[in-house]
Amino acid sequence: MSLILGMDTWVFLAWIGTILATIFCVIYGIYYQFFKKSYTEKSLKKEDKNKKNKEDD
Amino acid sequence: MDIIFFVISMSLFAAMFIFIGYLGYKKTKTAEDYFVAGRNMGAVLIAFSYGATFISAVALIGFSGIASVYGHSILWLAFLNIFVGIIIAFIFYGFRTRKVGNSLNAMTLPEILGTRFNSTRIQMVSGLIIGIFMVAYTSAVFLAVANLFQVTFTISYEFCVIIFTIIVGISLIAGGLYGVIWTHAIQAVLMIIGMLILTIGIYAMLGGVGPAHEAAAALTPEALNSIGSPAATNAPNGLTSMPPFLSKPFMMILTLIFGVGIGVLAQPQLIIRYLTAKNEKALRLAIPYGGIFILIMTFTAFSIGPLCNVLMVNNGIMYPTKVTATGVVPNPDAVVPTVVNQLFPPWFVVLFLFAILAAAMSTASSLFHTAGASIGRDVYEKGLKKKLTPKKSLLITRIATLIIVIATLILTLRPLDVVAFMCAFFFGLMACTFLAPYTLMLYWRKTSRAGVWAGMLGGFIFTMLWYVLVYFKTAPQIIGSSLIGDYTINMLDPIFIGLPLSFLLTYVVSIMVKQDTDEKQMMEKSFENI
Repeated sequence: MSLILGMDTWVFLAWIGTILATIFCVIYGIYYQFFKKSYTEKSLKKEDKNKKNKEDD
Repeated sequence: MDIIFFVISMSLFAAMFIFIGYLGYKKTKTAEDYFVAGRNMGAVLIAFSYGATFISAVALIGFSGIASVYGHSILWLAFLNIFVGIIIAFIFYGFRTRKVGNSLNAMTLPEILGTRFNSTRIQMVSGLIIGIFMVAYTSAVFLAVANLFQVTFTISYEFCVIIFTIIVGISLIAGGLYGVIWTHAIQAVLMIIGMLILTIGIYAMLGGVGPAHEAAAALTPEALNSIGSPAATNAPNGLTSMPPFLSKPFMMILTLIFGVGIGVLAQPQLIIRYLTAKNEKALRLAIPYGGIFILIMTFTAFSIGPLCNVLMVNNGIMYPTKVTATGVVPNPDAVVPTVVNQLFPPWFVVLFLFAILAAAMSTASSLFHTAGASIGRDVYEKGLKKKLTPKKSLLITRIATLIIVIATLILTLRPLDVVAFMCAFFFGLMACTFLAPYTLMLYWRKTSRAGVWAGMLGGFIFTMLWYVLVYFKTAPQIIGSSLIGDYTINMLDPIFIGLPLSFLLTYVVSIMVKQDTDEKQMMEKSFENI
């Protein structure tokens, strides 16, 4: 049976999958922090507007 | 290590958390402060609090012990912890839950369900289910850490349990969720440092990732038998390979992975974290911090578990055992503490102990907080329709929390089975009871009150019956033996059947019994920000 980094294929898939999932989390954070400004500003504006409307009510 | 050292370090640790509890007390003015930390938390605090709540001593000690028995195949759980527990949880549940919670001005999962479906009974029943079963889960958390301290300091289990419960209880009841989240930040840092050093240390002792895993793969059943490791029979294809498909070890791994891995989505104590976010951006930015935190916790814990066998064989350390009614049996919960005790320097033994203690206390404080809120706010105040002033409402919740703390203390002093199974029990039960109504409430406008009742009670009753009559770990203890002899069935976590059943019931009954006018109004309100 061939081993990758000492693990069989299924275990290696779990191992590498966990690392890739974490990398996805990091990229997601970087994207929303630095590249999706229009979205976050829009979202914050919408929330502020909702808050204002609630206060007016 | 002697008792004096334990008392001094424990006193400092306790003083710090009680002081933070006091700061939280000063900051807590309203019910919103106590239940959802004023809905004002940033990304890092949310991520650390979510992670520290999610990852308990059960995950670190219990599951790494299980990994020492079944091998690296449990790494699939680490994958699900991040993929489902962080990515799916935040992206598909977190943002919507926060919006719905804000629209309905709800502060707990039962309150979201109760308000959305215009039913105080739904709120009361869900609060009751959460409050009661959370006591068992919290007990499992304390059990793990008290075992660890008993092994390391050789002080009595009862003494440990009483001390831990008092510290967590005082800091929580005073500080509310502010106190809980602030202490989580410190506890998370301790956990990160402890787990990183432990993992790097173990891999360094074995020559790096590849050589360490190869050494684990090369361990023969004879070598494992020589130290009394149960892995000799439970990891038939080796410690770094999946067990044969549908074999008993395979079923064990499958049931743990899905019970905990999927069950995380419906944990009331985690759902509250979404409601504490100051805005959606904070929740989005919590994802990378949360992902990295879970990686450092579960990925490392599950990786080192099997490697402990190699270290024990190389250093002639026997696999730890415990005495039970059936005789002397292997004790997976003591594997990592034993390796740390025997092979690491004394300063790290102390650091590791406090990292594990931090893991236990952070989870326990969240559980106490959620259970107290469920009984005080959801059952007493809303369910029994007591008209209370905000001040009295807070007082009632604090009293309810105190009762939960005492009940947990009593249960922990008379401990049940292996800790990890209690963790899986709670996760599975919450998932089968709440995940379907909660998911459909967030995504399907036609979900009705009757559908929620059917899904919730159907899932709950099925799960309880499964644990009492069928599940291999619980049924023999309750009724003598499982009603189904086939292990591929009786080893299945109830989540495999209970969850689809709960979804089906919620959907079909919602189609059959439509929403009334009041429900429609609340539905429109809950979707107003989506």
